[in-house]
Amino acid sequence: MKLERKTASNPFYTVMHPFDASYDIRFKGKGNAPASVVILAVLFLTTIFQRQNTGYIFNYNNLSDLNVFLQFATAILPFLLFVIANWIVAMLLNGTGRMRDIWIYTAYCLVPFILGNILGVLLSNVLVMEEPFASYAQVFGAGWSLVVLFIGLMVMHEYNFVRNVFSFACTVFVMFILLFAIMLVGSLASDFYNFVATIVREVLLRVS
Amino acid sequence: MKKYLIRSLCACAGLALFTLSSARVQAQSNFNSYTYDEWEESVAAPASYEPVMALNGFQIGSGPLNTPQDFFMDDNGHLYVADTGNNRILILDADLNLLETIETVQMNGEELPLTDIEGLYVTEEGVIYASQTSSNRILIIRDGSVESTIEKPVSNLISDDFIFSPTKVGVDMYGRAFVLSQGCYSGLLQFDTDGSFMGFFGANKVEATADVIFNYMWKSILSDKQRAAMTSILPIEYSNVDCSKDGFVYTSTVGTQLPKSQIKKLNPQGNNIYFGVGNEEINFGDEEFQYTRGAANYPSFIDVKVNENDFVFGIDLTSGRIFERDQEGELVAVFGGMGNQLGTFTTPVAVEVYGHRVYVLDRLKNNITIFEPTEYGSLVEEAICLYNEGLYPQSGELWGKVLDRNANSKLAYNGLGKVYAQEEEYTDALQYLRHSGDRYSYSRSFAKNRLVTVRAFGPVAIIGLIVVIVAVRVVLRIKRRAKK
Repeated sequence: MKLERKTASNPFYTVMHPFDASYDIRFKGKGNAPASVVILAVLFLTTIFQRQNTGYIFNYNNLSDLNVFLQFATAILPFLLFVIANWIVAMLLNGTGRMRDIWIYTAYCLVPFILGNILGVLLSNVLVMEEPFASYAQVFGAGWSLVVLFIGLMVMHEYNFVRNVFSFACTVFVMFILLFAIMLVGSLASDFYNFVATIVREVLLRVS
Repeated sequence: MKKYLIRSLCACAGLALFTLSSARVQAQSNFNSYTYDEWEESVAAPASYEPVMALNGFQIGSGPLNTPQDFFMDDNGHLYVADTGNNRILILDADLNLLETIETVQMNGEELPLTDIEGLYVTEEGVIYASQTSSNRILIIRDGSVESTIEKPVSNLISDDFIFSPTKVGVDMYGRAFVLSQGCYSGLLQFDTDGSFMGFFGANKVEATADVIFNYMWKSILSDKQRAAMTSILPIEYSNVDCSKDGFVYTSTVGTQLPKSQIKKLNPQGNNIYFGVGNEEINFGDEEFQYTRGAANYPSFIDVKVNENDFVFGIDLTSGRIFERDQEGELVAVFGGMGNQLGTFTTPVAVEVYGHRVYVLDRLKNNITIFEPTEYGSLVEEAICLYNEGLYPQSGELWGKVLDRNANSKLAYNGLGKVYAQEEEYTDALQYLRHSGDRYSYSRSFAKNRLVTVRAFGPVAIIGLIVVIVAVRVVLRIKRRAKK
């Protein structure tokens, strides 16, 4: 599928025309999956860029202490959680959106957020402490993303406004539950690993 | 045979020389010296202070000390030691030679033994303020006789069941006494020159820990009766007090719940004005904490002293270390520690300064330790003083020397950066300020540097932009004409 200029397959068109684009993605199959993956990759790179290249005056990170895996998790995990949680909530609340469409549309919505962050980082390198415009750019980008996401999912799931607000609240709640479940499974897995490792060590000791 | 003898002798002498010289080079203290970097992690630093000697009662010549609780150094280099367990006050000189022993004083024509003295303060005229905690009074002793006493004040601020048990006392330059009373949470008791009670002064605030906030929430729901049954939340009382020459009262606090503002500098209104850059509360002690059963061992300051150059010394019971900070709360030096060797303590109770020397009294070891600054330590202090006096080029030179000896010195980077900023060499200033982690100064230099850059290239850039726009338009017009 091609990235045509003035259709929903183009993320820039999507964030300018959320009503039309989300309808097209859901009901005309205009979404472009490879583009969404590229956006996520750019999001990951942007978080690193933001951490390492924000101007010194605004940057309170220890630059020599970068953990790429942690950055990857902070960039991608919230996205994954949101998409899965929203899909689960859609099933419960009779939303019509499919997983693939939610994924693509949510990824598209990240574009203003990414651009705002990049602009903020660039600005922060020429601004001083008394001029907090860099964070304005970031807040503006994030706000735009949120509005577009809200509109798009409303259209996609064929909700009205109130139902959509309720859906968002549920989504956040389910995200926390998922996070809790992940942590639970993780700690169980590590316990199980320790258990097996101990047995193996014990057996090896007895055998030799 | 003779040859061999000479050779071996030479070898021996060489070896001796070598060991001697290496011993001098090492000059290792019995404690680690370090400083903190921007991310509050400890990094190595050269020793700033070194222990010179530690003398006990036998070596002083007074017989053994017995749990001394406090000592005080006056301006003439006389050290007054409250030898509490032996019911006496010793007067020593700056090298800890015994000058005088006071065991009794005249009071109303009777000999009064100096029992249970927990706090000492000596004014410029040599008047001794000695607090007798269990006798609930402070003796004001002039020339071996009690001139007057400070006792439980009569005031409507003070309830009848209040027990006045003064522990530490400080006297400011106007002769007002600031008294610390055991179990009194309302702050210091302030007495006028004639001994009359003036009021409470600068109480510690209740720290907003999770417990306190939770309690507060409960109390807003409960009835009066239920509220009365709950434990009341009280601020932590001060552990010591010191009056500086410029009229401020410094206090130290033991056992704070949060590692913040353990040392306070109180202005005449009784408000704390000791804050770091950006009005942040200062953690006077260690930034890295040791944990026992999940609870952090926060620093706990038992005494505070300010020297003539306004450097603040506080001694921490938790680590046995003495922390020296400047008026901005920047760490200047850390020395001492827990242990049994020279320069370490088991239960330090008091710290005093005289000239460049630092004296520490240990209650359990019953001795007094003297520290003197090393070359590095005095360089740092001198550089800070020069900078504060406005002698920027001179201080810059010293900061350079400090940096030669310690590449981890945040203070030196900061000092050099500020000196360069003063000299309007912003590129250098930015580089040094960046190493120091001082974003406020960096931001200021950055703004000035930006202005310089804009002024230098702004006109050229604008003219260039206009030229490009005009050129593009002209080219477009020519093309359009050519099409026609």
